Formats: sequence, C-alpha cells, structure tokens
Amino acid sequence: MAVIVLLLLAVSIYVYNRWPESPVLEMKAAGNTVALARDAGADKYAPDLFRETCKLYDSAMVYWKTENKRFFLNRDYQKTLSYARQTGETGMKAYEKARKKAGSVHHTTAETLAELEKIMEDFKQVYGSLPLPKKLRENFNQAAMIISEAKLAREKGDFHIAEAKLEKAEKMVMEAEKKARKMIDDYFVSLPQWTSMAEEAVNRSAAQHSTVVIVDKMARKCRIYKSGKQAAEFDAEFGPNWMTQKMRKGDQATPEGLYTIVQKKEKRRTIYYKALLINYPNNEDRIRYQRNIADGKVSARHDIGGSIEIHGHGGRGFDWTNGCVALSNKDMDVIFSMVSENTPVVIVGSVEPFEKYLKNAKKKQNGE
Amino acid sequence: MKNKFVLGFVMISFVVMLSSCAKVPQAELDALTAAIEDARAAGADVFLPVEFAALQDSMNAINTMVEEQKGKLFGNFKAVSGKIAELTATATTVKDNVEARKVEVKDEIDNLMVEVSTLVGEAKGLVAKAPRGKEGAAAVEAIKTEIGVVETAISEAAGKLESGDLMGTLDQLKAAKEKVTAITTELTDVIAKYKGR
Repeated sequence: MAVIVLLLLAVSIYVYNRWPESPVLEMKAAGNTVALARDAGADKYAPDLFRETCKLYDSAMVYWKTENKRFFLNRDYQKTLSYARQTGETGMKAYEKARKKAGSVHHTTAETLAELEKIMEDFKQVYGSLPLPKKLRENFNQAAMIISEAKLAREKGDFHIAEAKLEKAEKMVMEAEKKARKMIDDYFVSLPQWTSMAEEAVNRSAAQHSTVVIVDKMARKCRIYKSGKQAAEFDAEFGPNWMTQKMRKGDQATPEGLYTIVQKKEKRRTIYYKALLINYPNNEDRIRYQRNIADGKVSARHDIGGSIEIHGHGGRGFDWTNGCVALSNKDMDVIFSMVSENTPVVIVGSVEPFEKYLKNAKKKQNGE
Repeated sequence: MKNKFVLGFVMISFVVMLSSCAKVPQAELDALTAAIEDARAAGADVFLPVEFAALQDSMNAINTMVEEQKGKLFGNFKAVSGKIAELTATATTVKDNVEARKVEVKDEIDNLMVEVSTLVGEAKGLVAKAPRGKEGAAAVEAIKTEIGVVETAISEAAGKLESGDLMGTLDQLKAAKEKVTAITTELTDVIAKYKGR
C-alpha cells in the first residue's frame, strides 16, 4: 500500500516538474506591443510593419493553442516563444516608425498644403487668363477640390489621409503646371520672329512717317504707331483659341502675320459698330494652309476662312470673337480716325518674353 | 478494507488531478468572436476606430488568459468567463453605437447634399448676375469651370453613398461645400467690385 502511495507521489512530483512553462509573459508582452503600436498609429503610418506584427502575433497564438491541445509531456512552446519575440521586435519597429512619422506628418502636411496653395495661386495668376485646354483646367480644379479634402482631413487629425490626398493633388497640380508651361513654351517659340516683325514695322513707320497697327495677343493690346512712336494703345479681345495660329475657317483662332487694312466699314456695312477688314488670308497664310492640308493637320474640306477684322463691340473682358480683334466702340472711334486703307497691321503672339509679360501683369495688378 | 478505501481515494484523487482541467468556455468564446465580427461588419473599424481597437486588444488579452489557464495543471476559467461576458456586452454596445453613428452620418449627408446643391444653385445665379466687363468677365468664365467641378463632386459623392462609403461621401461633400462657398464669396466680390461702374 505504502509503495503505491509513494509511487503516486513520485509520479505527481515528476508531473509537476515536467509540466512545461506556458509562455504567458511573452504572449502578454507581444499583445501589449501590438496595442502600443496601434495606439501610436502604426496601422496608418507604418501599415506594412504593423500588418507583419499582427501576423506574427496571430502565428504565436496559433502555435500556443496547438501546443496546449497536445499531451503535456509533448508540449513545446519554442515556436510560440519565437513568434512572440518577433512580434515584440517588429511591433517596436512599427511603433518607432509610426511615432516618428506621426510627429513629422503634422508639419509636413502643413508645409505641403501651404506650398500647394501658393502654387495654385501662382498658377491662377500666370495661366488664369490663358485659353488652357478644358481638360487641363478641369484637372487643376479637381486638384483644388482634393486639397480642400486634405485640409478637412488635417482638421480631423487624419494626417495620413491628408498626406495621401496632398500627394495626389500635388501630382495633378504639377502635371497641370507642366502642361501649361509646355503650352507657353511652344507658343513663345516664335518670339524672335514676332519681335523682328514688330520692330521692322515700327522702323518702317519711323522711316516713312507712316502709321502702323501692332496687335500683341499675349498683352491683349492693339497699339498705333505714328512715325515710329506709339500714339495710342487699346485693350483688345480675340477668338477663344487665340493662342494658336489660325489654320482654317471656324477654328476661332486669331491669325498672326503682316497684313494691311483693305476696307474701313461703318454704319450698315458692319454689325460691329465699326470695322477694319484686313487681308487675311495673305500669301503666307495660303502657303501654310496648303502645307497643313498636305501634312494632314487640316482637312481639305475645311475652308481657309476670311473676314478677319479689327471691330467694335469689344470691352467684354473675355475672348469671344471668331478670330477677329475686338475693341470697345469708343476705342474703335479713335483707331478709325487714325488709320486708312493700306495701313499695315502686324499681329504677333507677343513682343516680349513671357517672364517680362508676367512681371508687367503683376505690376499692373499691384497698381504699380 | 481500510487500506483499499485509502488506495481507492488516492487513485481517484490522482485521476482527478490529471484530468481536472476545467472546461474551456468555448461557446462563450465563439459568441464573443461573433460579436466582435458583427461590430466589424457593421463598420466599427471605420466609424468608431478607437472603441474597435480596444475590443481587439481585449480579445487578445482574453485569448492569452484562456491559453494561460489551458497551460496550467489546474486551469480555472471562471475569471475568463466573466471577462468574456463583459467584452461580449461591450462588443454589442459598440455595434449598436455604430448603427446610431451611421444614422447621424446619413442625416448629415442628406443635409449637406441639399445644402451644397442649394449653394451651387446660388453660385449659378450669381454667375448670371456677374458683370461682363474686363477682368470680371474673365474671372466669371474661370468660376464656371470651378462650379462644374463641384457638380462633379456632388455626383461622385452620390455614387459613394450608393456604394455604402458614408465617410467618403461625407468628406467629399464637406470639401464641395467649402469650395462652393469660396466660389460664392469670389463671385460676390466680383459683383461688388463692378457695382455702380
């Protein structure tokens, strides 16, 4: 009897000593690390590391459960311990990264927001009055909406959402900026030609004591020179597609080139108060038109167009003509009295580089 | 006889000792897991993220407690059962709160939808009244495209609402409201600038 009791006692002691130690502390520590990382915003600011941490924790838990189902003598918690340790290490990395990012994202989003708002303002100032393609303008406005959303996200403390939205908006704004800049660069390729055309016309006016009309599309001005000196300057409006060279009838572009007034119209001869008909298309326009047809840029079905005038009913503040140059009726009265048939009309894209034009526009805006 | 009785007692005690592990409250655990899953399905991670994270952390703690007891020679699940019941009730409350928050957000969306649409209508009315001279008209032309973007945002928001993205809808409408309010201010300024000219 005593032997049996002793045997049972020995078995009990053996069982007690061989009972494997459960990785409770390690698993509690791993769980705490997951919570710590999440509280620091690791799910937002270090999502990859946080996902990895959660996976490791789940694996540790699965192995723990599996081992607990086995007979106690066969239990081995090594894998559980290993995964618990990895959870702790990766979780701390996620925590550190998130803490660092959360601390900086508050400032970086504020900076990016301010930068983007400045770029948007500059964009409006620089390109606001230019006939940008509709799609480009829509993208720009879409970016403005996304910036508003980012602002709201910041106010709510969702800095990671604000950051993502600002990143998207920045891309869109930069793309719009790039395309608009390219459009300007392409437009100004002809600047040397334009300036020499305008200079020659003014010099001729000086040499011959004659009158010449110079239309500067970028500056939106129509200037009269008498004997090489500027005698008058008027605000002008053009067709909506004034930034392109006129190629055909109905393209709503204002032509560029050397022309002459072929007819002065008033009263019943024009519906635009008073008008100065110029000789568009001239020879150069015809040659270009034929070349464009040959190159497939213009369909042969399209006419080259005509009836380009400097006429009244302007002063509307936007580009509305079908390619003509529109002045206010008051200005038409003045120009009408200063020019005659055969007066040269030089229409150019600009007489100064874009940067200088911008500087002048800013000065004017600031009332300098 | 006495010896046999003692031996029997010792044997039974030993068997009980080895197999006395208390029963894991599996049904309660399953119910808790289901309650947390219900809260997630209701959108707790989106609408009440802090509360939902707390639920997950508590669930992890409970799992640890369960395994801790399972690993013991004399496991005791009494305390764990109490915690499970407590957390199950919390999960149900979180789910109910999510539903209540959803109703709030939906109401806010409905109001904003009407408000933003009204503001767009007002902005369009101001466009019609805006002056057509000089820079004023140029600004008005630019503003027209901006109104178009707000209108697109409203229809996008309606699409998001249909797909169940309430928070996305709300954020988009708030941004649209801010934009259209800015447009209205700009238009009012343009009108004021040219008033009486």
